[in-house]
Amino acid sequence: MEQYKLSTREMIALIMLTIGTKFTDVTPDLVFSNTYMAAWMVPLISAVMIFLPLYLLVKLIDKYQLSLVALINKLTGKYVGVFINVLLCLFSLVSTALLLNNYAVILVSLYFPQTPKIVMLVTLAIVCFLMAFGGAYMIGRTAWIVLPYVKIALLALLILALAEEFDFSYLFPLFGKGMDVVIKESFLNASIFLECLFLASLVPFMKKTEKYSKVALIGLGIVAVEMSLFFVFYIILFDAYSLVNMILPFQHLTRAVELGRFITNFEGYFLAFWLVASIVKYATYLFVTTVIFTETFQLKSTKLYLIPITLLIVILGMLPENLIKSAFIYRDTILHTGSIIFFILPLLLWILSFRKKVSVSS
Amino acid sequence: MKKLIMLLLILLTGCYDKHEIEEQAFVVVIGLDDSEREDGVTVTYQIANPQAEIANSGGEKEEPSDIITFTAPDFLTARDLANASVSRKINFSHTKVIVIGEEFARKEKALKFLSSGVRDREIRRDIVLMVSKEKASEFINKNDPTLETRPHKFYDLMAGRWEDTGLVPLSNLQKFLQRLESGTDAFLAIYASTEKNESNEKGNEDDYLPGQINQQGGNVTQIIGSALFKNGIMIGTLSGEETRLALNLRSKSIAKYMRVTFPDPLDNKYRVAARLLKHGKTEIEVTTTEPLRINVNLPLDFEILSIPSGINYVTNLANQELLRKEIEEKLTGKFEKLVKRTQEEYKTNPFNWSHIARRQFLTMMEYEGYNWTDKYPDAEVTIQLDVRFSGFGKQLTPPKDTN
Repeated sequence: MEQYKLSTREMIALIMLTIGTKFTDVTPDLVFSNTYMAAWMVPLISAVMIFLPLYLLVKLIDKYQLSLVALINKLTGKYVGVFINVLLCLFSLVSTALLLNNYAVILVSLYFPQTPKIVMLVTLAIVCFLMAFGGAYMIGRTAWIVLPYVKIALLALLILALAEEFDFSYLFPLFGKGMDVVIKESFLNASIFLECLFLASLVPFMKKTEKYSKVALIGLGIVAVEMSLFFVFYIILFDAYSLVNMILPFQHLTRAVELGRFITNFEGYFLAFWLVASIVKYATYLFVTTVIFTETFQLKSTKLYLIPITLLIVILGMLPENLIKSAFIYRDTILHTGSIIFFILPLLLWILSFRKKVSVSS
Repeated sequence: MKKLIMLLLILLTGCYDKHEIEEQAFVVVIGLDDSEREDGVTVTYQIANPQAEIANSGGEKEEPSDIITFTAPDFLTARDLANASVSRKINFSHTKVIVIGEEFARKEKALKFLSSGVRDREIRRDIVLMVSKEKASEFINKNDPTLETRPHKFYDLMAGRWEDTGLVPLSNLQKFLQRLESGTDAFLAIYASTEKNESNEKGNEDDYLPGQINQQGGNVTQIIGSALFKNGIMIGTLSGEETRLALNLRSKSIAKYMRVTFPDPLDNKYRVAARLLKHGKTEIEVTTTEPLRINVNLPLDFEILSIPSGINYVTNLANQELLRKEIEEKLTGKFEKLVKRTQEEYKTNPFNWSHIARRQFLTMMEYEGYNWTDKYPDAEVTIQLDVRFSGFGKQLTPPKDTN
């Protein structure tokens, strides 16, 4: 069975597809609305800020050789542990539902105007479910296989964008609404990288547990730089004053690029790669949510519980009526609370592990 | 597994948004005019007929496009109304140009309609914005390109000429919205007309507004010069020459070359023809003090095309220097006049100079506190030209009359 376990490259591929596609959805809108032309700093500063909590967490995982859920259980005790894990599971469930809704709305409003949203949502959910049903190895392998295609498409987009008229002056005034705002937003939006923490629940599916520290830290560095780079492109092409009024800059970018005078209107090609990346992303989310659930209650079959959880996600995803609503709910409930979880949970675990050590030695 | 694949085939077909190309009517040009209705707009659609004049397709005798005009509360919802007479589904995804009648462009109402239109998914931000001197409906109807059969190609090529000649600016919805949203610089839109105006006989190669070129034959449409928008509302026009100058004053002018003439310094009956190239970036220095100081340094290459007076400006170095001085002086004068005009008449700059000023500030509060828009009309602008002769064509002196 050893060969059907995830190695470092598959895990990094998962991080690069889950976090490394966030600049293509509403995340930039949420960041740009407060920080304007300084938005490109937010992913970098956020990554620096969460480096310490993340480092503590991966060290703990290394030390105890346990997955996230089991680690919480062990360090906080049975009752508190279950409580925290249920919270994490709910959090993951709600954010997956909101994000899936988000993507369904993007597809409906930009590419398939006649399609009912529920059809889009259910179709997406079924495809993701089928992939997640294959288990962690299937998701990881798929991620590793599609990763080069997705990233090459993104790179091609950036190269094509260079042919458009851009202006580096748009990056100024350098600090946007002020450095204090940038730092505050970086703190509040740190949960952009929350997947680094949640993917730790996939540790039992990895070949070597201790590799997770490498995965999380390298992954964090890559996606932070990547996201920042895309933000810079959005700014120099569209100007931050314009960006705060337009949603989904990535989709605007795919519409703006052209190959010579004759090949225009080819956003559909980027849509294909984007869709593939999104499906892997949501399959991962579905699987992670289910794993947290089953591990919390120590249930044997992960696959069995995928079905009700997917259904629940579809139902929850139907609730917000439109993109703006779901985006705002997402930001206020998920992004901000997520950031707080991100900072507090690893610290808490670390302090508890410290105490444990002290009590054992005494 | 086979059953699963069958199930997926049914589930993932996506029949809701199927488009039959036969059933689409691609609107190439949208015209906007004011309507008598307070809350309405007169919309003109020019719909391309892809079948026209293609042999053996049954479309040999069909018109290349269909033009319809009607009044509707909005130019996007108007598409349903258009279907009262157009058999196909109206589609904006290949729209090339939005033409606005000048009269309408000068009203705030036009801005409202235009800026609200970008919300629609089919309206792309690279649609070219054009202002017509007459009503847009009239312009679209009268425009009759002789070389191009298809309307979209005509507009596509015309809008692309800015890159070569600089007689019209690069103007699309994206730039329009950028200027509108940052609120500091003026936006230049392509200016066009199909009407003959009092023709400007004295005009040289570029000193025209559309309709002033005394041209015989060809298409009645003249696309030259630009309409100046301040905060999204049209407030004035620039002639072809002024547009060229304005584009050269931008730090990122892309005008590759332009052919111009200058009065011959030694024989003012004639004009020297030259090709102008910008060999480097326009260097712009902005000092945000009181008053605002702007230094522009413009590197220009000149290539002499013709010297009708026959005076030797090529091998005679003293004459060459004289011509260079003359050109430098004349051009500087023109640039200064244009800048003065934008400061006094329009009180806004179409040169995107605020982008340079932005670099001097650390936060948006400081930048907005400086209030560029109010400072610009009183700014001290100095323009310096750095003219270089790069070539004299393939002839040293004019052919000598041996008699």
